[in-house]
Amino acid sequence: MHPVRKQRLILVCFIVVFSTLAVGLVTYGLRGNINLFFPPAEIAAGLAPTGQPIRLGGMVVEGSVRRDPESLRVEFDVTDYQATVTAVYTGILPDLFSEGEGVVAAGVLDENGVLQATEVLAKHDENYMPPEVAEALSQAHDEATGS
Amino acid sequence: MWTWFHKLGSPPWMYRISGRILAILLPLTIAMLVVGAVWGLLYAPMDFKQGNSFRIIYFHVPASVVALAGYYVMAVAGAVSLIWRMKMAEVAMKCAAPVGAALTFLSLLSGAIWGKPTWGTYWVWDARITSMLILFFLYLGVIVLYQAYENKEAAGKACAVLSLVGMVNIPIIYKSVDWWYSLHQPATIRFTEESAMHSSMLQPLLLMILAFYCLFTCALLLNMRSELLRRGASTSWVRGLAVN
Amino acid sequence: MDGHGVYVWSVVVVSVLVCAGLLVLPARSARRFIAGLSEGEAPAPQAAPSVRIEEVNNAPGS
Repeated sequence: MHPVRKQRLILVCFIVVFSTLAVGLVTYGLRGNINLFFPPAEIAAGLAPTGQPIRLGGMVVEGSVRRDPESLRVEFDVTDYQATVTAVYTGILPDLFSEGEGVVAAGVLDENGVLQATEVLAKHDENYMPPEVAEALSQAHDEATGS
Repeated sequence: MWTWFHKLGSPPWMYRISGRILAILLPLTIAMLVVGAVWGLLYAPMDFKQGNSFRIIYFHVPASVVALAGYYVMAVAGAVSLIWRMKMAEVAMKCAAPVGAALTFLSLLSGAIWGKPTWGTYWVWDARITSMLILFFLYLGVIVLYQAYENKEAAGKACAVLSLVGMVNIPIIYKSVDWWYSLHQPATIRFTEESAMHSSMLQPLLLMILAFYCLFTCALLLNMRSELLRRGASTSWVRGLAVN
Repeated sequence: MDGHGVYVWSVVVVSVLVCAGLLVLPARSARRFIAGLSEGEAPAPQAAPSVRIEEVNNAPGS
């Protein structure tokens, strides 16, 4: 290769490597801030600040959703299978919100460790299948576990 | 090998060959887009959780995948134009930017519209969505930077450097859902294991992804042809086109 | 589409606009340029492309 071109090739590699390193270090340094939410385990460990807006993310515990019959107030537990945090929300929940599904709730943690949520978002997973297949799968699962 | 490389750098040759490629690829692309869209929208089964709103995936995922791949095309063309001072590579880089920007825009907009019925919000500042927005600004940056320079040689160099620097964003977008807690779910289509999607839904999606790759190629070639004509406005091969 | 139709079809409309814009705008710009050549007008080599790029970017939003 022509020496001038070789020099330019080295320059191009240098640009790519150097910018990757710079951005990599910045994102590594800010990794805590890039996370959208705290999992319940980090909140239980006291890593999340109280009295200021945070987000909590995890799975809604099966059978934990308690709806107030007179208002839109709803209470549910969020878990990451290591710790569980309770969230309270007043308002309309997204369609995909249900027990055993992912959820991200934004709000303020009160002194009792309960999240007073102002916004609840459903977090769905990457699995897609037709309803019939889902039914067949859950039936097969029930038969296998004998319930 | 090198004669081929030199031919690739010749505007009249490129113009002629791209015309022949487009004559075949363009009808094929449109057919694939129509078949894929009809298949996905009307014949694929609906999702067990999301119902019919999941059908947005047939536009959102292909646009996103090709917007990312298109950035590599732009950055590699930029690198070639820097190292070998190849004009054709500079034309490719310049012409890839608006196509990539349009696809990134489509990805962001369709994602926002999809977010409302599934997540419950149009927009959230999570790592995947924010890094995708940065990709959009990188594409726009290349377009604007090129326009900003009077001297087109300097413009080409500046854009090539910007697209190379921005390349670091692409793996970040890919891995953002694995590295950080985000609202966006991880990848459905996987190369190392079975995809997390039933085959009756996956087949039209794969067709749409292929169709969008072809769409990118067609749009890039069409843009390059238009650019080659303007750059060669005073040359004999462009003048020759007017006679026919 | 049980309440989701608005979302799905609006994405379809935007996608069709973007795809059509990506193919039609550069093809039309090249055709116009060649037509201009045949009429013997001296085309401005640098002014035209900037207009074309703006058109491509405005297309999805319109």
